Amino acid sequence: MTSRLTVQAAEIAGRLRRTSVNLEAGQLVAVIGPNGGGKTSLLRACAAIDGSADAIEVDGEDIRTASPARRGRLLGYLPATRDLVWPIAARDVVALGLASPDPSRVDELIALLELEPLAGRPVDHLSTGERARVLLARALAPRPRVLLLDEPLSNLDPYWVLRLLQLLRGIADDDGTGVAVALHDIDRIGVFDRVLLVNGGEIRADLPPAEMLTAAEFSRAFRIARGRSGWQLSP
Amino acid sequence: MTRATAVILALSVLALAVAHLVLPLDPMIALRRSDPATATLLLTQLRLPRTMLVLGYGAVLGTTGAALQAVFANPLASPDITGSSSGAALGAVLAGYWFGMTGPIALAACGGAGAIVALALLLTLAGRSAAGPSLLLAGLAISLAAGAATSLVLALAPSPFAFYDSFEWLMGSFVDRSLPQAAVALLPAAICCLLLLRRARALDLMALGEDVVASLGYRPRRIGIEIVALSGVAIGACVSVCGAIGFVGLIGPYAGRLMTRGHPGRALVPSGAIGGALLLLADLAVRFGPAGRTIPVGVLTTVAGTPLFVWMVIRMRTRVAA
Repeated sequence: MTSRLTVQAAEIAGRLRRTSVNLEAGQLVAVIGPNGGGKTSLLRACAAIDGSADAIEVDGEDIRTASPARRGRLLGYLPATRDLVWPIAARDVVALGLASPDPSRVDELIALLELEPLAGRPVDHLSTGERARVLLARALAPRPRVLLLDEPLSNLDPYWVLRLLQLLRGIADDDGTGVAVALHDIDRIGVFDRVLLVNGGEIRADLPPAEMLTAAEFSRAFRIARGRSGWQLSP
Repeated sequence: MTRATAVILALSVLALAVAHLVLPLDPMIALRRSDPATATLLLTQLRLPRTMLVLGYGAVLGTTGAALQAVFANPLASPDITGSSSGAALGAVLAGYWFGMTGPIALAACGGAGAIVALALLLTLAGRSAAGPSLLLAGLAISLAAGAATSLVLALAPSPFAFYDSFEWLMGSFVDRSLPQAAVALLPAAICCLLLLRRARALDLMALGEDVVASLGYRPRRIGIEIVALSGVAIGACVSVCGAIGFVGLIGPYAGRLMTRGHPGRALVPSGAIGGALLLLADLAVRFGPAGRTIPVGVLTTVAGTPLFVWMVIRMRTRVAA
């Protein structure tokens, strides 16, 4: 396996302690942790949005010195917020993800995320779940080699939760994209290759999903444990 | 924006500019017959600077309004509502009536400084991604404070006629402005607007949120400061020569975005064109007012623009409620 994303000594003062992490090609990684633990900070630091780092490289190329068009093809970031102020049509929002116009790619994404009925409607009039799909399509548009998605599954209905995980699995397998997904629904982590547990502003555990759920660090962070009838509060 | 829309828009602006230059036609023709030399002088020394100023100031209001709205992610963030026009007026009044500056360049510089201070205050009071109401309130506070300070400066000014002779200017007027005055207002404004246009793509992406823009390598905070500074200089230079004019910077971008399918950055050019066209229309209308009376053009734009503003606020309120 080759490392797609290499992050060395990333740090955001007061939010994320010095952290080094890498993402392999074709790997689907879940980022979990309690509220305020630092999931978003970790993703933002890896996308070079905030804080400092010794190195943030995609396939050996420093993203921080790349031009906006190039950087968009190296790394895609989807923030957790779904707020959009301007009445831009859904199709045009997807197109904003591309540095140069490519209508066929936009059509492809609209079909992929089943946005056809919404394509012409202004995004500020869509439901939160619909907007989430439009914004994800925007992030996927330039086929970045690394995808950092902050809670892409929230606000989605059950069909779209499953469909999206299937889609991301496909993108990782087919294109060799390294995908990191921050999420809250710990019952979904079975489909991921690897799980990062983030708490107190640092990565506390980095394990395959099955081991993560039984790790002591896991129940310490979430203050829950697997009981006979599902998840229970830790004593 | 389709090519056809762009051509129609450009032709309309051109037609309005020509109309503004030659209308009313009768006195021009009469003068041309009796005294051709004076007629030419009138056209180049009086009418031309006025047309240039009106078109240029309107374009500045439209372009800076669109840029400020994109940065603040708020369709109400126009030069007047953010308090930057009032700040510019205060700066120019202070310089002119208090420190006795008379050079148009010094006045324009002080106007620009006033606008930048007002916008910087707004940034600190309301923050950049401020929601509609808090931006409006902060802008209102700054406008009121700057307006009161302007009145105070005029009341305490050494010249007893300060109030009287500043009235027409502060309400926005284009009467009897010279070519050098037009140059002082329009040259810095044009440079600033061209620099603003370079940011069109980043401002479009700003619609997706600051983190997305930052993830592409732009620096949203730096872009915000850059746009506030450039807009401040452009507005300040125009206000120091022609006074504050309301609502063109609100309506221009609103119509501009309708032409660019809602894209805030791409709307910069059409917003400027529409702003120019609107102000040309308003100043033409003022020219056909009652003989012997000058209605400040700013009064007309405010009267015409208020209903749209109220409508936008109501729409915003229903959206917040929904």
